[in-house]
Amino acid sequence: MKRGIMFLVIMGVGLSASLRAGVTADGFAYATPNPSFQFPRDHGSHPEFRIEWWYYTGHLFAASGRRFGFEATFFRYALHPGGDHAESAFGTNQLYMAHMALTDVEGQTFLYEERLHRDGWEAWAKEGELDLRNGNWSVTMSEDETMTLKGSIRGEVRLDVRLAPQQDKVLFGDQGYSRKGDAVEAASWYITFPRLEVAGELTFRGEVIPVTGQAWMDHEISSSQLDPDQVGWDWASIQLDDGRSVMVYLLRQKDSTPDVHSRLTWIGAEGILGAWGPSDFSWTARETWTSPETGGVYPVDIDLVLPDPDGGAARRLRLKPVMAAQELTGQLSGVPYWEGACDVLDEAGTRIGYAYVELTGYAGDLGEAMR
Amino acid sequence: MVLIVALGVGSFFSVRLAGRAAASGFDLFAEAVTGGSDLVVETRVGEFPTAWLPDFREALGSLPVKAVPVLETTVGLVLPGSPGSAMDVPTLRMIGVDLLAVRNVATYRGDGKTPAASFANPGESISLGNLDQVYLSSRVSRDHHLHRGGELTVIVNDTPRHLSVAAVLPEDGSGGSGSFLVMDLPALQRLTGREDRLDHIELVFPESLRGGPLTEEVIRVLMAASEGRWVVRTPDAERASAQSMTMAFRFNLSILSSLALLVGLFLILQALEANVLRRRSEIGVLRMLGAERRWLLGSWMAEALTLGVVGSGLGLLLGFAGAQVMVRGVAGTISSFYHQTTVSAAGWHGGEALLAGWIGVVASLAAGWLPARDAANTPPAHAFLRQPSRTGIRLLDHPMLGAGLLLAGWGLTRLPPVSFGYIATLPVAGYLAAVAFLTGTGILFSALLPVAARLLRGWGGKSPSARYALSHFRMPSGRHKLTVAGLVLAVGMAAGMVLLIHSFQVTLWGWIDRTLTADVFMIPKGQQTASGKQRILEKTWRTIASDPAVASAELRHGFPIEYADTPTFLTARTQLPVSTPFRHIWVEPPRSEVNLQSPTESGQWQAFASESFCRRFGKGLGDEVTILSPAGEKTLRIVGMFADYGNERGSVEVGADPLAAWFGDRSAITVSLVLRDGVPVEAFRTRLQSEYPGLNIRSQALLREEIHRLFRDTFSITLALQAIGVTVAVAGLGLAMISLMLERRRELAVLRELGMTRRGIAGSAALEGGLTAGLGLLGGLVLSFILGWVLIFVINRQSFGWTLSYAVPWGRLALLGAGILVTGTLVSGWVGHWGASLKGEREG
Repeated sequence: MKRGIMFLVIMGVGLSASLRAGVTADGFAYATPNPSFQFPRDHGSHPEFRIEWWYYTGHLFAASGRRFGFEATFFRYALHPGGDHAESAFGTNQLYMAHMALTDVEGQTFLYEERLHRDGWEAWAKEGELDLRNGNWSVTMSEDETMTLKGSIRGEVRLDVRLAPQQDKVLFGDQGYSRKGDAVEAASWYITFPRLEVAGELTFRGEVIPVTGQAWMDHEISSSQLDPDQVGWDWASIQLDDGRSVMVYLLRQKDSTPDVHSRLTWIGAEGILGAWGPSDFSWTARETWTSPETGGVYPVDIDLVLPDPDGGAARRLRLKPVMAAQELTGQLSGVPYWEGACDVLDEAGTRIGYAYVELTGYAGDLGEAMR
Repeated sequence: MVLIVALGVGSFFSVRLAGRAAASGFDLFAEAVTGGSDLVVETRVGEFPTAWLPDFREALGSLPVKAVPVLETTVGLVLPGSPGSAMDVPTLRMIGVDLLAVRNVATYRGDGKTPAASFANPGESISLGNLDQVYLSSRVSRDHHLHRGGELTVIVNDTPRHLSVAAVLPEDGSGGSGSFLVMDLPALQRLTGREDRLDHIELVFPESLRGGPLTEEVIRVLMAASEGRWVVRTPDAERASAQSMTMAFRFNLSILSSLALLVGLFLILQALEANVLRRRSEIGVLRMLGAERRWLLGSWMAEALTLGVVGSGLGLLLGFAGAQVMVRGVAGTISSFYHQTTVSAAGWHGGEALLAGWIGVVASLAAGWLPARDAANTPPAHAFLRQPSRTGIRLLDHPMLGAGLLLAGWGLTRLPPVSFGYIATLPVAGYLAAVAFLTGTGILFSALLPVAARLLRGWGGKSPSARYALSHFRMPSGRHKLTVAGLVLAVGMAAGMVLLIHSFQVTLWGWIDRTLTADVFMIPKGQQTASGKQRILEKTWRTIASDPAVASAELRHGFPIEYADTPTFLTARTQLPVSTPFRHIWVEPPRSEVNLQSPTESGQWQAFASESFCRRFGKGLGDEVTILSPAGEKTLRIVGMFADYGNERGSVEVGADPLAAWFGDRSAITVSLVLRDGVPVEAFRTRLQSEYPGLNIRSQALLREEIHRLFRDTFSITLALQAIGVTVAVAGLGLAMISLMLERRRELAVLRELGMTRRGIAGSAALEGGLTAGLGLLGGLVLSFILGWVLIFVINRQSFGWTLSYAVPWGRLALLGAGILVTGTLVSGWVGHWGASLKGEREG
C-alpha cells in the first residue's frame, strides 16, 4: 500500500470507486471486500481504478559471492475515470511512472533512475495479463507465473532476470481486501509473491555477471489516499532463512503515533500465518542517515519487535542496511524516499535473512504535499 | 595599404563566417534541449506514421536508449499589437515533443539540469495535450519580449492560433542559441492536421555509452526491423547533408569575396612598387655600402609580411563585425532555398580566421614579391638613375602568354563541374577559366599601349601637353602596363557582375511575366521559405476557389523527396476549373499529348522535370526516374522540361491526383487566383485577407514589388563587391600616376623651366591617365562580356542548373565606363597638378 500512497503524492491528486468494486464520487472504482480474483487476468491492469502498481525488490548474488540489491517499480495512474489504455501513441488517460535501483554492496554504490511516461507507445500496463512497459523497462509473465524483468539504469546497469515463484501468491488482508483507513474507499486489493527465485544476468559497468537470488513482488490496486493526519510510512519485506516471510507497514501520524490501520503479517510456506495491528509490534530506529542531496533524515537502522506465530513469543529483529545512502531523490516526481537492501539480524547479531525497507515522508512535509 | 589588405581579408572572412553560421542553423531538437542526440531515425520519404512506433519500440527492446519522437513545422509569429493582416511575420520553428517523456531524457545527461528538465516541473499541474500552451526558447523570449504567462498568436498552416507561454526554456550553452517554440506532440499533431504523423525520432544514449558499441547495436537492431520503412542516421550525417546542400552557395560566396581580395592585390602590388621607386636612391646607397641582394629582398619581403599580418589582423576584426550584419541576409537566402534556419549571429571560427589570415598574408607576400625582386635586382648605379631602366611585372611583356591564357580559359569552360554526388556541384573549372580570362585579357590589353599611342599620334595636334602625354605610351613602362592590367581586371569584374545580374533580372522578369498572370496569390503566413512546412488545407482552398469572384485557381502541391539519395521535390498543380490550361515555361516542351493523372499501360507515370533537376541528375526527355513515395516506388517518365528559377534543388511534377494518393494529402503550398472581369482586385484581396488572417494574400502588383525587393536584397553583396572593384580601379590609377610623377620629378622640373605651366602638366597627366583608363576600360568591357558569358553559361548553369538569357545592360555599362573614365582623368589631372609642384632639387 505504501507505494500507492507515494504515487498519490507524486501526482499531486485528491481523493477519488469489475471485479465487484464500488465507485467513488469522481467515478473511479474502489476496492470492496471479497474480491473474486481470476489469474492471470488480475495480474494485469485494472484501469477503472485510479492507482495500481507492480513492485519488485530483491537480493542478487554472483557466483563469486558478490551481492547486489535491486528495486524495480511500475506505477499506473489514471487521469480520467473510465479511460482505457492508449487510444493513441501519445495518450492522455493514464500516466506510468517507474523506478529502478541497484545497490552494489561490495562497492557501496547505489544507482537509480526514474521514468515518467503517458500511456501509448512507450508505456503501458496491459489488461488480462501481466505485460508492463516503461521505455526500455519491461515485465512479462509466462503461464507458470514466472516473470521476466528487463531494465537498465542510465548507462551503468542492465538487468535481465527471470523471477519464478517458490510459493504461491498471497492475498493480503481479507482474501486480498486490505483496509487502509476509515473511509469506505480507503482500501486496496493486494496480491503478493513473497518468494521469487531469481536467475539471470546483471551487466554492471560493462561487466556481465550471472546472478541468482530471491525477490518479493507486490501488486496493489486502489483509488485511495493518505489520511490528512498521516505524514508518511515505513515499510519492510523480510525474507527469513527459515522460509518464513514478514510484511510490515507503519503509517505515521502527525503526532508520531502509528495509525491503527498499520499491519504486520507473517507468511509461511502455505500462506498467511497471522496478522497483527500496531499495538502488537514496535518499530524503533537505531541510527539515522542524513541525505546530502535532499537533507532528509532517515531512520535507516531498525529494531523491529514482533510476535512470532511459532510459539507466540516476541522476537527482536534488526533490519540493518547494507549501506546508508540508498535514497531515490525524486528527480522526476519531486518526492524523495529511501528504499534499501538490508540484512536481518537476530538478537545475537547473526544474519538470519534479507529485507527491503522503504521510508517515506522524511524529506519534506509529505502530508502537506498530499494535500 | 594596411586598410586594403584589411578590407580584402575582412570581406572574405565575413562572407565565410556568415555563410557558416547561416548553414549551421540546421539543428536537432534533442541537441537544443538535452545537449545532443546520438542517432536520428526517419523515413526515406514522407512522414513517419505513429502506427510504426510499436514495431520500433519492440526493435529497441531493452537497449538503454531514450527515444524522442519529433514533429516539426514552421509558424508565423504575429506579435501583440501588430495587425493580423501584416504581410510579413517572423517565421519560427515549432517543435512538437512528448512533454512528459522528454523529461526522462534529462536523466541521461549529466546532472539533469538541461532545458529538457524544464518541461512540466515536479509540483506543477501537468496538462497533457494542451492545445493552448507553448514553451519558448530563451532566444524567442528575448527577441520578441515574450515571457511566462504571456500571450502570442501564431499562424499554423492557414489559421491563427492564440497560445499562452507555459515557460521559457533556460539557456545551458548547448542549445541556447536556438530559436524555436515547443508544444506537446499530440497537440501539435492536431493543430497542424498531421495526426498520427512524426518527422523523425531522435535517440539519446546515456552519457557513458555515447560513441561506443551501443551505436552499432542500435543501428543493427533498428535496421533489421525496418523492412524499408525507416533509416537510421547519425546527427553528423544529418548535419553534413544540410551543410552539403548549401556547399555550392557558400563556395560561390567565397569565390566572390576572394575575387575582391584579388583586385586588392593589384593595388598592393602597385603601392609597394611605388614605394620601391620612391626609395631607389636609398636602395642604391645600401647596395653601395655592401648590402646583399638577399638581404634587400628579405627586408622588402619583411615589409610585405608586416603589411599582411597587420592588415589581416585588422581584417579579421572588420570581418567578424561585418559577419554579424551579413548573417541575416545569408540566412534568409539559405532559408529560401535549402532549409529553415533562424540564426541571426555569426560566431567566431578559428579555422576560418586562420584561412582568411593565411590568405591575407600570402596575398601580401605575393604582391610584395615583384617589387621586392625589383629592388633587390637593381644595380647600385641604376638605383641613382632618374628613369629606372625597367619596372613592372615581366609577365606583361609577353602578349602571347595572354593569348595562350585566353585559349586555356576557353578550354576550361568545356570541362564539367566537380561533383559531390548529386548533392552539390562546384564549377571549379569555370572559376579557373574566369581567372585565365582575367589574366589573359589584362596581359593582352597592356600590350596594346604602343598600338594605342600610334593610333592617337596625330590626335593631339601641336599641344605640348598632349604630345608629352602620348610620348609615354610609345615605349610604355611596366607601371603603365600594370595599371592597364589592373584596370582591365577591376572593370572586367565589376562590369561582368553587372552583366550577370542584369541577365538574371531580365530572365527572371520574363519568367515572372509569363508565370505570374493571376490576380491574387496566397501562401500560409509561416511559409516564407521553400523549406517551410506550412500548408493551405484542402478545405480552405476549396472554399476560396469556389468564391463567386474567382474565375479560375491554380494550386501548387509539393513534398520533399529523395532521388539518388539527394533531396529534391515532387510537385503537382491543380487547375480549377480543370479545363484551365497550365502555364509552364518550357525549356523543352512535351513532344506529344500528355496525361499526368493516370499511369501508362506499363505502369509508368508521365512527369515534367525542372531544368535544375535535369541538369543535376543528368536527365532529359524520355528518361525514367524511379522515386520512393510513401505508397512505394513509382517510375516516372520525363516528358517535358520546364524552367523554374525558384528552386535550385530541382523538382519533378506529376499529376495532382496521383500525388495526393501517394502522400495522402491534398493540401496546397500556394494558391493563385484569376478573378472574374470587373472584380476589384484590392477589395477582393482585403476581404479575403480578413477572412483568412493566416494566409499571406498578395495582389500581383504587391507580389512583383516584393520580388523586386528580394532581388535587390539578394544582390546587395555583389553590388558592394562591384563598388569595391571600381574604387580599386580608380585608386590604382591614381597610385600609378603618383609613381610616374615621382619618377619624372626632374623631367617635370625641366618642363617647368622650359615654360610649361602647372596647368599644362596637369592636363598632360590627365590625358595620360585618361588614356590609360580608357584602354583599361576597353579591355575591362571586353573582359566583362567574356566573364558574363562564363558566369551565365558555365558557372551559373553548373551551380544552379539554370539557363539565363544573355542580356547586356548597355546603359549601366556606359555609366560605369563614363564614371571610371571621368574619375580616372580627374584623379590623374589632380596628380599631375601635384607633380608639377615637385621641386627638382629634392631629387638628389
